[in-house]
Amino acid sequence: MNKLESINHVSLVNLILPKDSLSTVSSELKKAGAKGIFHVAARGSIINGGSFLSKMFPPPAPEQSLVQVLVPNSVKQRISEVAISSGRLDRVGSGAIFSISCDKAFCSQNFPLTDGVEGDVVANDLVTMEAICCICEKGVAEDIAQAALSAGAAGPTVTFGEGGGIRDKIPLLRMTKGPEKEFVWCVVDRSESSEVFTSMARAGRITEPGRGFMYSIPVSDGIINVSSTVSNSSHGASMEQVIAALDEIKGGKDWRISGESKSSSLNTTILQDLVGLYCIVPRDYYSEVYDSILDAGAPGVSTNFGVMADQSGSGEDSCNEEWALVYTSLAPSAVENVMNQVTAKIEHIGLDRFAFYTLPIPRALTYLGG
Amino acid sequence: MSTEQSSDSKKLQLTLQQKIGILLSFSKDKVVEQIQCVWFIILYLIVFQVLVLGLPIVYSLMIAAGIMIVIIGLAFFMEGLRLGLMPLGEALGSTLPRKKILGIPCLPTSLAFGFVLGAFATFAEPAIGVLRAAGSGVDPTSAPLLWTILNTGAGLLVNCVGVGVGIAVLLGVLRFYKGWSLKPFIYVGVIVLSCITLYMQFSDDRLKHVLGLAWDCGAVTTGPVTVPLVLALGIGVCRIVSTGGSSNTGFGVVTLASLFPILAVMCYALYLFKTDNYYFASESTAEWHIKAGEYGKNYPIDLQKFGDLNAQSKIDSASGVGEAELSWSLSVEERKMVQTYLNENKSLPEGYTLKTKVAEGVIVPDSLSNGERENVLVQGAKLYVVREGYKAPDDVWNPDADIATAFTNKFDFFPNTFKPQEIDKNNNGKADPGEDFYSIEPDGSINYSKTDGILSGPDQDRGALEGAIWAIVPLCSILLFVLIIGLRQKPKHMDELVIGILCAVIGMCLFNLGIALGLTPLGEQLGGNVVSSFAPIQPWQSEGFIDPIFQSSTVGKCLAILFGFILGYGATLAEPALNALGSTVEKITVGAFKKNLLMQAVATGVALGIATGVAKIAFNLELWYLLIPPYTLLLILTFISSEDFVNFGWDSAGVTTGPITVPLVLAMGLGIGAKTGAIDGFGVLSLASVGPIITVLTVGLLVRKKPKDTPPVEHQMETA
Repeated sequence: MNKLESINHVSLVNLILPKDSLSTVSSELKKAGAKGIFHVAARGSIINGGSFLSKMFPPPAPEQSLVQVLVPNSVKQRISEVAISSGRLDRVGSGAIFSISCDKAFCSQNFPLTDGVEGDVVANDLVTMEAICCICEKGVAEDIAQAALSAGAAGPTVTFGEGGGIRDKIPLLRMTKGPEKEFVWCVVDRSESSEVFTSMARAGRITEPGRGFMYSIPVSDGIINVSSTVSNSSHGASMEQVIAALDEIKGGKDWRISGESKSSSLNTTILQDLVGLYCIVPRDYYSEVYDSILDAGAPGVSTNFGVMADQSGSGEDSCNEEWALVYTSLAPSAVENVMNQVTAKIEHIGLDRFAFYTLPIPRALTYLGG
Repeated sequence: MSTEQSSDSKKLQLTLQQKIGILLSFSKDKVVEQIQCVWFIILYLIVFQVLVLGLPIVYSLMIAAGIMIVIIGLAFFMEGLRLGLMPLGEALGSTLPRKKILGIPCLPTSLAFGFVLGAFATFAEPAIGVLRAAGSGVDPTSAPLLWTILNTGAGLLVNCVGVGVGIAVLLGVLRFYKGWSLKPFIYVGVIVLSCITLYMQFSDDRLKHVLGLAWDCGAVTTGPVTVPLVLALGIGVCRIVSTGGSSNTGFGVVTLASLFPILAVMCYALYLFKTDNYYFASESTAEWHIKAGEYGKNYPIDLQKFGDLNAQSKIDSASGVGEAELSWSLSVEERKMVQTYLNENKSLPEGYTLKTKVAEGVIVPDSLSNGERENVLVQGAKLYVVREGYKAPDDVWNPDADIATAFTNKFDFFPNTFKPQEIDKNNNGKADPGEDFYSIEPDGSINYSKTDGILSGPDQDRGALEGAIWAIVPLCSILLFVLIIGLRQKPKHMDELVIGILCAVIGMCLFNLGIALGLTPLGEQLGGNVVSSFAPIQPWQSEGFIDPIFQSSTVGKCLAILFGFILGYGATLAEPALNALGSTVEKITVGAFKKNLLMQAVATGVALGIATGVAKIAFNLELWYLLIPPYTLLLILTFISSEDFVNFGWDSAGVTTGPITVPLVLAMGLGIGAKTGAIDGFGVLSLASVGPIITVLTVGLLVRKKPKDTPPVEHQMETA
């Protein structure tokens, strides 16, 4: 473990941006000193009208990017401000920014990490929002996103990725199911979070076997301005402007909760207090990391593939350098063990650019066996 | 989650029952998925023939069996694409820009590889066989240049098209590296092609007839194996090379691969024309022949003889029994049978009736008592015994269909090639007297030394198995070779790749077999029988005649056009290449563009295109003014559309007209063309390619809503 440095007081800053503003924002962030800007292609959600024409020609959803940067807490405020001003995230319908404080983070020597003043800046402990992530099969994300929208969340963002677990150990028949998965992300107020969580779980039938895995992460601060509808050009104001205006008139967000809330309890056990282990590796070595995590005993692994915006690849001209974000959720006692095994494997390969970080997962839900 | 997982065993062992369970549910899902694509077109064809045309389906069992085989073949093929071909293409595409082969920089190797891939894909897929089938009715005396290109010059045609596609893929890959937009390529391509089209249309009749072939070539070249491979390669390359500024995602190569073959064929035709190296239609009495004077001086003598033979056999068959006489006549055996029956039973047998030809008689009026009304007698009119109605064969299986031959033609991979060496029996390199295509026997009869005097017509294609192997295995071997040995990158799951390629081969083999057994007879039946909407015909494989459904031939032709419309829609939804494109678009845009959007828009566009094509053949319109205005409209639409829709839309032109649409459309085109005097069946496929581009771009303009520019909202960061 002597190649891994432990970094304290780091947060993961997340941005959800429309695809067009990605290059502007990432170059501004680069100028501000951020490094390791990892972005994943994503799509937003729109409320589907359901008319025959929209079923036959479904209107395209807004294309987005999900950007993640590991930032020391000391510079977090500055980086966030740069992101907000360059992406105009203060405008309604423009995107979102939220940051999650990491329990622990470890970076290898050459991993691009944002420079920060090493100081004991403790992260804010008061958590007002939660990020809910649901990993599901391809095609199911649409229903889950619609359920989240109806429950009051701002437009969920969906990314593609791969995932697997016990099925990868079947010798030949594992080919009968592809590894493609969809990840549904949404960030909601703490007050609404259990409602949104349960309606997403119900829509995706997460408690049935093989349907996926859901978890929520506490978010320490953020601005959520994603749009959830595509406005008709004949309307005077977009839906978000209307909702924002109503917020002002009513003096808060309480009016948003509908009259009678459905019983928000699911008849199932919710897993509590897990730890999410995230590993960022270059894409070429992703399969070794994936295998070693499974060998170390993790029940499931999922991956998002993306690009480091500030690194140019090994090709001659400017290339995209592809990285993979590998994620697994574990009991707190198992984290150390898994991390050690993976690090050993990575050292065996001879890779010197990778990083781990862990995030607290207070709540998770999946099929737990008969 | 618990750490006490059973991860001790590296591999999980399943019981046989569990394995069968997994396999069964997986296969069921895949087959159901394919049935969902195919059911519409099959049901429509059967319903149309039985209910609208009122004719029974001939060889129904064979067709049903063929359709089952097609569905299973499609399921295997799509799985093969998912497991083997597309991951292989993407792995190669994402490694080429990063690693050097033998120290050569990445860009030249990628371009060279693109050229090789494009050229090879053309040789692998049976597109040219399709065109030769479409041109099987071409009369060498009325269109000698076209006939030459399709028959004796077919080998060089394939080479030209192959080179054209190779250059197209090379340019496509270059475009990704440089980050150029697709629009300039489209503008230049369409304008150049239109100018050459107009030149060929108005300069000489012989050149005019080649236009249909040229434009159709572009439509058919990219098939169900090329498109996914080229797409996957493009996507892989763009993942690495498409940085910040350019919005290329991997689409656009198929577009170029559809435009360049048109140019290649036109250049080839112009070259043959200028060097006088084509058949001199010695039997022709056409106006252009008289005006043209001397030509074809550089055409080899043997091939000239071959052409003469062809022309002679066409003239002879044309002066045979005409259709009108056929409906009034009986064969010798029939007459004997009727005679015997009449002698025994004093009446006509079942299915035969008396008909009078009044035109040969003389009207003799015989006025009645009050002088204002008359009895009208006919003297000298002729009375005939004719067959009533028509007699369709009772067979549910075509007795001539040989499954073994359809399955394999004993590994002859080049059956279509015209082999003049076949007549060179003493191997001295030239045709000696007596080694000719034919010789005149002492008794005056002609002895054909090549295939029983069958000198023209659709050739026997490769068997289903050979077609599948030839289409997939060479391409995949090249890809694997370059990936593993050239780039030294071992793909992650080698067993998945091999199984995928195997599935694709099996799928394609079954698919080809099913099409030969099921879709081709169905398409030929319907194509031939749909003419009964406006003309009296002899139903397919039947004896006897039926009258047209509508007295007015224009209304009947409109019914045929409506048939073509729905046929285009249904057949396109079943195309495997379009399915692959739709899934790929959905994957690249992370689900922002749903597969359904593209599929419905493309299917509607093809429906419009085929309807227009049927109109062209039915009313004998010229191709150029059905093509040039839509392409002009397309240029305008391309200009105002966004880049991503331009990419998807133009690519969707290349994926339509695949192995399901083509047999159906071709038979219809030939059948209608024979009745309306069209020279060839070309043109429908190219129109079917223009339609989807227009619809996709239009849909793109309609659904795209620009996000509103909103003013900043007073919003505090929600911190403590």
